[in-house]
Amino acid sequence: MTTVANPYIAFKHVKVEFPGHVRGLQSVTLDVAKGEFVFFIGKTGAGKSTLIKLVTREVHQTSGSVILDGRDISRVRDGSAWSVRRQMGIVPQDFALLPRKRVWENIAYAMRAVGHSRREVRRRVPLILEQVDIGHRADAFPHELSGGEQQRVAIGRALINNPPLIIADEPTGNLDPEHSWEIMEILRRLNQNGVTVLVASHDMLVIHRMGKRIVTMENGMVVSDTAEEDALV
Amino acid sequence: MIALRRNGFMTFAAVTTVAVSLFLLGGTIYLLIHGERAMKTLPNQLDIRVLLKDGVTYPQIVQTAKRLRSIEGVKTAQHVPRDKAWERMRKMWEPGLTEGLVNPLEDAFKVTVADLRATDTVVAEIQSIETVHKVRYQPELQRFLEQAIPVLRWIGGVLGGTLFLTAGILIFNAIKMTILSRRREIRIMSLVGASRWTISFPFLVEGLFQGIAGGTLAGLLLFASNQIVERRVYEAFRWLVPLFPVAEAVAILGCIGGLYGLLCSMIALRMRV
Repeated sequence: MTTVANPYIAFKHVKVEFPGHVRGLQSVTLDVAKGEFVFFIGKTGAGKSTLIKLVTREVHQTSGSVILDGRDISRVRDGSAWSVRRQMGIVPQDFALLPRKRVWENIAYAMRAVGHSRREVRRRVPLILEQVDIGHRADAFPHELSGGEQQRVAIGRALINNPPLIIADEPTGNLDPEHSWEIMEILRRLNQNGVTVLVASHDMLVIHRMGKRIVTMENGMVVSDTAEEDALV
Repeated sequence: MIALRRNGFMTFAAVTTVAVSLFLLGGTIYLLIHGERAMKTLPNQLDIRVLLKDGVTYPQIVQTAKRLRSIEGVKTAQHVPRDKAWERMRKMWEPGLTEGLVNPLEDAFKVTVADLRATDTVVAEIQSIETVHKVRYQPELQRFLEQAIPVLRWIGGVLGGTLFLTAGILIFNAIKMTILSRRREIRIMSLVGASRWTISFPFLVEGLFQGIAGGTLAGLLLFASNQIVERRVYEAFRWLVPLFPVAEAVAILGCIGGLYGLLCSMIALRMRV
């Protein structure tokens, strides 16, 4: 198990039990350092999505605690979960784009929802779209985009709060290898700029090519933790 | 407004649901109020005629009036002088018919009771007065009304209560469907860290607007149906239906609709956001 002296994210003996006594996680203890890029891998139901959703407060622990940047977020109530989510960018597996809004409008809508001014929206939307290489499709509707392009918009939307942390749940789950690699390149670029990236995935080809830290999960437990230097084989 | 226009079908469904629910509910309440009023005035209309013996003197009439008014349950006791009654009768009949006739009527009293259920007791007491010759009233009709009024009130209460509850469930479902149809937007806002208030506010405004629009529509529908009924009733029975308070109805139903819409949105949001 990798332990960090001053972890950015720390899971401490976290247990998650879903209704009907279904076990999600069994006493997971894990540290993530600031600026790290970590893959969580495992079969479906292994607990990788549950683990990252503890950080986004979409899942609540039964016991144990989750620390984010020194703050015990496991004590944050549902009504205040938004304050935690403002510190991160969340990329869902299904892109979650608004079908009737153009690419730029999808980003603008999210920015307005978190209180950015119209002026700020006008200034930042083109920059965000460029950051994820989708500026040339700004006026397209989601159904006119490929899966990879839609995922880039979803990543762009995750960047609206300039987050120090990006959490992506199966970001390449619906993509072909070429587009998967493009998405990973964007995430790598963000990581190189100091953003901590957590990715739940089972796309082994891409994961091994990336050469980043890999945490393997099975039956709600961490069964192996491969550091970045060891992952580069 | 943009959201309302975009979710046109859901808005239409919610507004019409609120309108129909409040129309039925408002109609029932309106009928109940008028039914109650009619029932309260019925005892006045179902009066007891107390006919006095021939040749009673004025002091005896005054004494009888006092006795009648002192009976428990008597609301009013109005003297009907035989001369005035005869005059009225002559005016109603053809002039030749009463020509040369001697006034055959007796001095009488028109007695009304406060509560129809007390009629029999009141009549028995009236009959014991020495100056009283005969008492005329409609015991069957009074007894029927006596039994029917509480039943009608009970049915009205149950019907009104059921409709109120049904209206609430319908509005709640309509708003919940609106929220369900926009769950993607809610999810996105939630993912990017929008506060619960930011997410909820448009839905609360939407629920409020839908409720007010539905309530106003219900008020207008009620006014229109009252106009139709009024005309029919007047044509058939020559009865004047009470004036419909259109401004009050629209204002009250609009407010009820708005509050209901807001409340149901809050409940639906608590379950979704």
